[in-house]
Amino acid sequence: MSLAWRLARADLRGGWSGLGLMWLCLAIAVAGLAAVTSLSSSIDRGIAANGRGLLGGDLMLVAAQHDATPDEQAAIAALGRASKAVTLRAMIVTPSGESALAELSAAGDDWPAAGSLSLEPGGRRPRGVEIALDPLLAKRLGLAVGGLVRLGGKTFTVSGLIAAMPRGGNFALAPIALVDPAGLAASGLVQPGSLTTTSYRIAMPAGTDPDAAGTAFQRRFADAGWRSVSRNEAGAGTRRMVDRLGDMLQLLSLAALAIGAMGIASAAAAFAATRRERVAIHKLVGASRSTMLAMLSTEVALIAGLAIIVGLAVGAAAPALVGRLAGDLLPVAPDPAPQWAALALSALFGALATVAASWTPLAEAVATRPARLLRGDSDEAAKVARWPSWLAAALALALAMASASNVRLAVYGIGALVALALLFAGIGWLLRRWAARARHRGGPLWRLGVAALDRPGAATVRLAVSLGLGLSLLVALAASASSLLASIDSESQTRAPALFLLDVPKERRGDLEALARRTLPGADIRLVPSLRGPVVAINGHRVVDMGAIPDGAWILRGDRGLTFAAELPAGNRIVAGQWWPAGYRGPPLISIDVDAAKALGLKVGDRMTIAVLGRPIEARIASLRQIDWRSLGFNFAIIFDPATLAEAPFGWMASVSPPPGGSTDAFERGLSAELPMASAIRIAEVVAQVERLLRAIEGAVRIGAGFALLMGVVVLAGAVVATRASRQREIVLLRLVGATRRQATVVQGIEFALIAGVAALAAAGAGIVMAFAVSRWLFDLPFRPGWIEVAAMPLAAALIASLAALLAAQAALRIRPAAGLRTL
Amino acid sequence: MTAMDAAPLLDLTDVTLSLGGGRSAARTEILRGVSLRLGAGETLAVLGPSGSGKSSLMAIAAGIERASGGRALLAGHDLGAMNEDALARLRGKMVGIVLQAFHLLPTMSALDNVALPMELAGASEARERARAELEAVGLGHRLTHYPANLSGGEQQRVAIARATAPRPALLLADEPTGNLDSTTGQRVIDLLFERAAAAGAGLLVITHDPVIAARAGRVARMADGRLSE
Repeated sequence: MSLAWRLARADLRGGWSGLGLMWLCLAIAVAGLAAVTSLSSSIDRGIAANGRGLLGGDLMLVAAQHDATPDEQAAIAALGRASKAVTLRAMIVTPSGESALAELSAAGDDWPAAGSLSLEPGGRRPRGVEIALDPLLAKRLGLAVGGLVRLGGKTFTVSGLIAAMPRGGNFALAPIALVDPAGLAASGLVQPGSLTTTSYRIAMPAGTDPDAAGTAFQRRFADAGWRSVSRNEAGAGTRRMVDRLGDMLQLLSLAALAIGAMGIASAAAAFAATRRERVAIHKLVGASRSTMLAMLSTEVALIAGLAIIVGLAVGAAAPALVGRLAGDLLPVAPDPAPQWAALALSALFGALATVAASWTPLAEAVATRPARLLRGDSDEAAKVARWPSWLAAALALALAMASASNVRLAVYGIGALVALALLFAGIGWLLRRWAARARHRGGPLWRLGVAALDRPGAATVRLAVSLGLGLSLLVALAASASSLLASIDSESQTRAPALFLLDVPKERRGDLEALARRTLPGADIRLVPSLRGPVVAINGHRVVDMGAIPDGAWILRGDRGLTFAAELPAGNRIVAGQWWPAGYRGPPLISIDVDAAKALGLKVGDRMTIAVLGRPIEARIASLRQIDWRSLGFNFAIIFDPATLAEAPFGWMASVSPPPGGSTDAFERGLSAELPMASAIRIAEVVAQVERLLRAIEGAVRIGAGFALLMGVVVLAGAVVATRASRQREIVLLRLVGATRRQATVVQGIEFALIAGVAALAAAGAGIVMAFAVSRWLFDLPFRPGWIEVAAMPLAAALIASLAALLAAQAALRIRPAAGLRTL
Repeated sequence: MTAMDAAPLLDLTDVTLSLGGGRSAARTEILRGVSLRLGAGETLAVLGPSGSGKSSLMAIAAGIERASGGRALLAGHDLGAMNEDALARLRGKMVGIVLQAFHLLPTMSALDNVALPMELAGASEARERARAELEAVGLGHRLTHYPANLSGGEQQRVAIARATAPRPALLLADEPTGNLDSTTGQRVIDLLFERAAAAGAGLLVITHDPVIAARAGRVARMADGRLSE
């Protein structure tokens, strides 16, 4: 056994002296970090491990509004065993007239090529005029197996409820439903111009590379606008979302770790103070500086190691726990096994935070000269090199950036956290300066409470940072989320239509307008032609050959909604080029969204090729438009001139705004009877779904920010425990000169309330400014937060923090003067 | 009529004190039936070696330690029957304490330290009285200094001023020169007796120095928890 180890063990027998606080701060912080990183990694792994089953094949080739040509079919068949599905949105209508939108797929018995369709007990695969439904949809419409629904122009029998089926591992926009191809044909839903998606899922022979095969297929049939998704890309949307949310939560966990590091620093200072005398005694009997450093480092490493192990154990259990508690909400089950890489990363963060926070006080204790100690100057800190602390902090920052899935977000996030930490450090410093001046004013209890903020070794600055950081994030989140939700509510009530209609056949426009006049007089009905198709080339350069798609170039991902228009739509503004003249009949022209153009470096005059109904159309960019995306009307990133697409088999998309107080019920009933192939999307339901999603994301992030705040409260309470000796001394002296316990408690309360109150006030200010910036500049929305919540949050936090600190001070407050006097 | 003819200021009868006695330690008998009476304005020195129980006797007289047995009265108040806050209030009103290690509050100036007991007790003109008392102990030029900026002798003079400024009926001093050199110690003792007389307080000095003890009107000896006069 090494000397340092033996000395450390003997030294620890004399008590942990502050290391308990270090253990607590580190264990909580590492647990949070390990849980977040493990969960994110387990969902990624869950998707990666089940990619084939989630996708329903090794490769999926997707086209909008058209089937594969004979050539394409031959090429698909050459890749492996293929199964086809056609997907579109459709209304499911019950005999009582209740209706709901569904994402309907039509597939034969050979579907899917891999993975499986599983139905709840008692159900069977639909055939002919049968339909299988998402259990959520069935519940909403009050349907069970054997129930009847109308789909298009035909009545279908519910044959089963879908337990699982391949959906690519992504969140579906609407509940799912399944029929077979004969059923789809019988429904009459597919009309020329219907917004269908045809997908071919292919089970490929072992050893073939689906990514390469997909890309080769896209290149060969580039003009038809095929999208390719391999089993490795299954759930890409879910992954992106989980990664973004994971990044945000990781940032918050790192903020909590940084706050925990303040507690570790307080703990290390308290520990070092108690060890100076022992270090001096060891040195008196011949121990070297390096032996002492090894002894103290071993003690800290031992405690930190124990804390990290406990934190990692919590993190390791998180995926299985979340999978069990919230598995239904996720499109894939998280991999329940421990995520070793994530755990190793969290352990490394914990170790670096420990070194950064504890090195300096330990080195100062080790540098204490025995002679100085014996003269009673032990409080004077020796000058020591601080670079190991800074190095560890810098490494932790670098690691945080390197381990984020989005480095830019990490850089901004960490920059913002550092700026916030500096702001609160400045506020703590100012509070201390103020205390130094103000401690002569006011009554004795007030003066004592104020003076405590500036007592030697006071952790005022550290505590301001620890409390302020978490609370400001929480306030910012609450204020921006409440503002965003309030804006969505108000916009959807004042500016949005009540219904969006899809797939109104080209020649039935008159019928729709007649129906509206009859059942919803005074309604504002706006119709626009609607097609779908992907961008396949930019200035002749094929998208499939582009490699990485630049940030912000979402216009290149998947199929886009397309339209044509003779006049510039409302809510759009030309910012470059010119709108085409009335009656234009020349080569194809398009007008595109200015932000998408910027992301791709496009300008007026450049060319873009778009696959419409499987046919490439190269169009020149005639103008760039600024689109007001907030207007919940029709907003198309790409608009064609009318002549180019007027003869194409398109459908109509319509928005329906009833007169004030008007109900769309009769109109919807008429629609399902007279235009059964059309689908109606209720905006109120979409808004509610968006709000649910926002609230869910906000809830997750709020837990993260709340965790950072909790860490701040722990650090405050811990700092009180760490300074117990000096508090006790002060309290005993007060009691000696006649102070009652209540008076001594008031003194402590004033100190805690001042620090918590100032930190809360500053955090509220910083949080509101951040939320204002997010609302106005990121979302371009008016700032209208829930002021009551925004005001209550810092008040409550200050109260809780003060009470927690008072609770932590109880041990010192309860001491009897005589007992305390003996220890002075 | 002597001071002792009236009701005594401090009246300890057969006081015992035993400490410890937890699971692992045996109880230690500190005081074994101590009786003591001190009249207003009287001075008494208690002499004795370390560990004889002198400081514990003072702690009981100050109401910061509760006697295990016997009776302790201060100005007629039964210290054994009062709770801690009542004892603290009584101390603030009637008792001044000077300790060997000064024990000033480090975050307060000399003036704040001296004013504190009077302010806690809600006394009027606390700061003016504190200022006057500091001037009386020769520290009029050190009012705004903090303990860390004062010498040992100066700190003990602030402690004396803190103890005497509220005009206590009883002044307790536990080895007041223990941390000072002999010249400074002599000055501090002079000051202690002078301020006690000026305040009209009874003075109980705990010491192991016979020279200091000789300054008191009465001397008692403490040995092995028993007091003899």
